[in-house]
Amino acid sequence: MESAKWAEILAQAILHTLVASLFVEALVRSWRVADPGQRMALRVTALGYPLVLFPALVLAFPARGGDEFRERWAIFAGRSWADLHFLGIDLFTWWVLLFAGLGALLFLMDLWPLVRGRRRPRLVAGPADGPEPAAVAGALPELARALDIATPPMVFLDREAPVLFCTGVRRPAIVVSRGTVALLDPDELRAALAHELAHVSGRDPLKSWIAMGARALMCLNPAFQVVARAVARDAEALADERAAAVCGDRLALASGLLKLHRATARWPAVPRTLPFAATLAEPLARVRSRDVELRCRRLLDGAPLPLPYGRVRVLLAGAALTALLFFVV
Amino acid sequence: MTQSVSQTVQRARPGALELARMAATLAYVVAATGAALAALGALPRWIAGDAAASRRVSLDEAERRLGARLPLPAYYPERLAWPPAEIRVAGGRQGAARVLFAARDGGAPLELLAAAEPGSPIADALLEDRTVLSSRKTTVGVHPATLASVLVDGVSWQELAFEVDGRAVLLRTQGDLDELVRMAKSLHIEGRRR
Repeated sequence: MESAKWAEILAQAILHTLVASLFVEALVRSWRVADPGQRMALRVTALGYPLVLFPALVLAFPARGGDEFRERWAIFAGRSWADLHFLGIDLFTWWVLLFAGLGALLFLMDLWPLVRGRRRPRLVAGPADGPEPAAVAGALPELARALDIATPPMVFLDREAPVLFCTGVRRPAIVVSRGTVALLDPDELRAALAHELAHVSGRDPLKSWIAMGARALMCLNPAFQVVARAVARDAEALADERAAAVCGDRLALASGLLKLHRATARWPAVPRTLPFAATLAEPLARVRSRDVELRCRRLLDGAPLPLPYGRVRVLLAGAALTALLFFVV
Repeated sequence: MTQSVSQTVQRARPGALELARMAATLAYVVAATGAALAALGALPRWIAGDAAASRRVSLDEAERRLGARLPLPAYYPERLAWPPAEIRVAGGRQGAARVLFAARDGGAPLELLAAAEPGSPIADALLEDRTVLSSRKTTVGVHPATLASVLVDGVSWQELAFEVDGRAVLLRTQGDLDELVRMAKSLHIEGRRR
């Protein structure tokens, strides 16, 4: 009986996240939200629904779980699918199993590269002398000042493979390899470093771990996994915009991004330490190529203008969603 | 550059117009989402055919769906658990309900089937595939009744069919016949044991 109750709650959490994510995506497209910060705020509303608002509804309105509410007030009741059967099992159970399995698969697809990366030898910094480390060390302080952050330490890797990412939650650092410096021209390198510093400035390493924790909590919720990935892409786009604003050269950033993407495909994967990195890493190479293409297109299209009443839109979307999902059980 | 300027002009629309557009789009998305959800919610009932199939509900919900109170026994043996283990309705208004009373100790269960309105039959979906082995006329109080021995899915039941306030009622048991008759005599429409 107790397990049936939890199955019901799990089913509702999955259903609510699915509706919330589709609703938010519809709004992002209908309002033509181009600014990555605004897109992220709307999508985080969908992510926050199963974590905060759904438990609040379950606790504050227990009557929503009753037959009377389901039959008289609900506009959609997942349990109504229990009246139909397939292979001796009701369709409600079928779709809970299907969605939970899909959620677990999506979560494991991103967890696996992270776990595999942990088993590889850790990155060892090479000698930080010579023209390549000096070029990076020379560019970092000015960019960090422009982003209003302290200059993070640099970990220089003496290897041909192009590597460039930021790491560390409490003490962020920029990891860069000799191959990256050789591959990019000075403007592209500056733009690429500005992108990584924008991640540091936005505390993205910390946020990525929080997102991964939430994903683990919602590991059976496929919509949550998909929206979390979309938020990770928004974080990349936001870092692109901040980097472009700082270095003032959108073309150099797009060009650097493309060069790095093409070059990394030729080399074995480098162990990453962040879930965001894993999210966009190996398993979905085609998706990643598409993401890079979209990011380059956006950079070439020019800076997106934020919509007016950005916060009002998020608040209204959240309120409308809450009102709608109150009647979905 | 031209595109950027036109975008700026577009985004610089008067505040009221922008707010109205925003609200209209939001209302449209809310309405579309609500309609899609309502359609998905109605789909299983439409596929299953609400008139023919029976649905598992609570006692309150059964009465709401049927639009009538269910007859319940004033005499309720201690051996039977309350609330009923399962309640099914079929046919909506003017339909019927089947209430299954399970025994606390896993003993013989008892079933009550009742039509919602005088003159309405008990839906076949609730009666299930039953074979009457024998039957005889009897009375429940002053009401004429039929006592039958039936097989439902290969299981033998004693079945008492009669009317309460003109509504067809059928009481079945796999156990004691005296208990069945006492419960049948105590059936009434108003009031309810909680």
